[in-house]
Amino acid sequence: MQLLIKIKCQKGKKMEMEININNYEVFVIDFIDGKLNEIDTANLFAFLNQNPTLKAEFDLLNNESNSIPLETISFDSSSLLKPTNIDVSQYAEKLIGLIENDLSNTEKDVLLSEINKYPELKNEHQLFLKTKLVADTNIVYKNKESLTQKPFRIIPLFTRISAIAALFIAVIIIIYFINNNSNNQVANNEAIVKAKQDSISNIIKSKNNIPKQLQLENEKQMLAFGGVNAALVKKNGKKPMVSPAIPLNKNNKNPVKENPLNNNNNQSISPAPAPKKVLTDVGLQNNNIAQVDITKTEVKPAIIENILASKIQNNSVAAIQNTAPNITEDTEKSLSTYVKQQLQITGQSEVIAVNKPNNASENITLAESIGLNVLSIYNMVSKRDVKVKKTYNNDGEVEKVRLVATGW
Amino acid sequence: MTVTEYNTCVKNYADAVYRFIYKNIKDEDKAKDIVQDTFVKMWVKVDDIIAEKAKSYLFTAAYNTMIDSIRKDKYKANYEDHYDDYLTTNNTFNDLKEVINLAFSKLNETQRSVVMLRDYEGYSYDEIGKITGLNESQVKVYIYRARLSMKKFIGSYENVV
Repeated sequence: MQLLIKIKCQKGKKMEMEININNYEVFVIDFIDGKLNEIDTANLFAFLNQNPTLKAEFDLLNNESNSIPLETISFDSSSLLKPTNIDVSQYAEKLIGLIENDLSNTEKDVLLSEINKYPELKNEHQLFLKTKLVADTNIVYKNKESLTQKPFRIIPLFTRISAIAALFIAVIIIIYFINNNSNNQVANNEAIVKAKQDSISNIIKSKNNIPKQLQLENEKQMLAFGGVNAALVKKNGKKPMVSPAIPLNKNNKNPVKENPLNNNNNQSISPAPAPKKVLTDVGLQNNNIAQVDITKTEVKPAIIENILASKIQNNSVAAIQNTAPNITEDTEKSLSTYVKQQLQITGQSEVIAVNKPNNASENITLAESIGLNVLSIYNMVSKRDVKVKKTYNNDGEVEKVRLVATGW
Repeated sequence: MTVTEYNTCVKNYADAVYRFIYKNIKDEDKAKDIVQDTFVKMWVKVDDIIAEKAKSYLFTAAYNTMIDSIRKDKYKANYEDHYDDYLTTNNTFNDLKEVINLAFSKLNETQRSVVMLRDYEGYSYDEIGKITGLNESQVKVYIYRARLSMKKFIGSYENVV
């Protein structure tokens, strides 16, 4: 009972009490904890001195409480136990703005500092960075050359038409001048030939007035030239056809009496076989001049002029006669009609004749030939087939002329 | 624009336009056709186009042609695209690039276009708006939503890994 009373008193106010074997343990624990006052401490030590066995236990207890070392153990993740102050979902727009570079410098700095401060925000930032795409340079368009264009110049339609028209007109003018020159040349050649023919005719006509002595001399020269002429003919590839009455020997000598040109003897010489082409001049035929068949050639105006000029100077009738070209009807016409024939040939393909009589004239005028040439050029350029249709009447005259398109 | 400038545009921008179209429609032949049509349209109006504006003209024409093509083929579908899950099973990804491409393919064509114009070509919101026919705020919204969607897809994949 006394013990219970004493224990109860210990809980409240500390009272002086007697320490005995039943309560000394409380005093010892208080002493170790440092809660025992001085009076109680003295009483405790007095009691322990009276009880050596209890004192030994007290000493042991007192030493052991000081031998346990203090360990410094700390909890590192204490921050995780603390509540966070940011909502990551609220930062999505800012993080996207940071990626898109839409934030100002101040906002960018604040956000970057928060990213460094909060790891979860840093993770979010890393995820948003992955959404930024990078171009795959392996994806290329092959065969870019097929898309390129070559440089060219677009020429307007009007310019092209104008150029073609100008070319057309130039061609017409050139053709006109060519035709004009050809006609002039033909006319000149005709005049020259006519003049020479007239001179030859006059000379031949005046032959009868030549004195006898001069006649003999001319005859000799003619015979001599006849041999030269025969040589020339041989050179051209044909043998001279000489009258049997005038045999030619090597010495080129002929008896005068056998001279067929000796009109005083009035010898008629059997003419050589009639040559194919003979001058139409009556005077030449009547004088029975040996005819030498010269190979028919196309006679050029210059050659004619040279020959006639040289022989007329010598006043040698025989020379003139033999060297005068045996101008045939065809060659007489060839100069003057050469160009016309050419024009007719080029123009004939563009003409359709309707009811054309056989006796209708084939000649076309210069204007018609120019027009037909223009038409042929037009057909060539435009790749069309336009022709001239001429309708003839019974008299062989052109009644109607029309342009028709064929093959469309 | 001269012929030389046109040919320079072909050399400089043909790849970029082709890449833009191909990443959108995932069809090589159609992408080539669209690129050819685009450059033909540009050649027809070569005299009216300034060289400095050629790139934006190309992307605008290509985008419009692509949209027309997509709308024309709207009622057609490839068997492989529709039943791809039944034909193959591949739930693993070799690298992050595949994940990103898959995330990108989940976007609609407008979002894909604006994101590519932003990331590949570096166009501003205003320029993208002119190309796609949207205003600036619409472009911004499309880009933000596209990035958010892609981020969620990539984040969920990484969480699973």
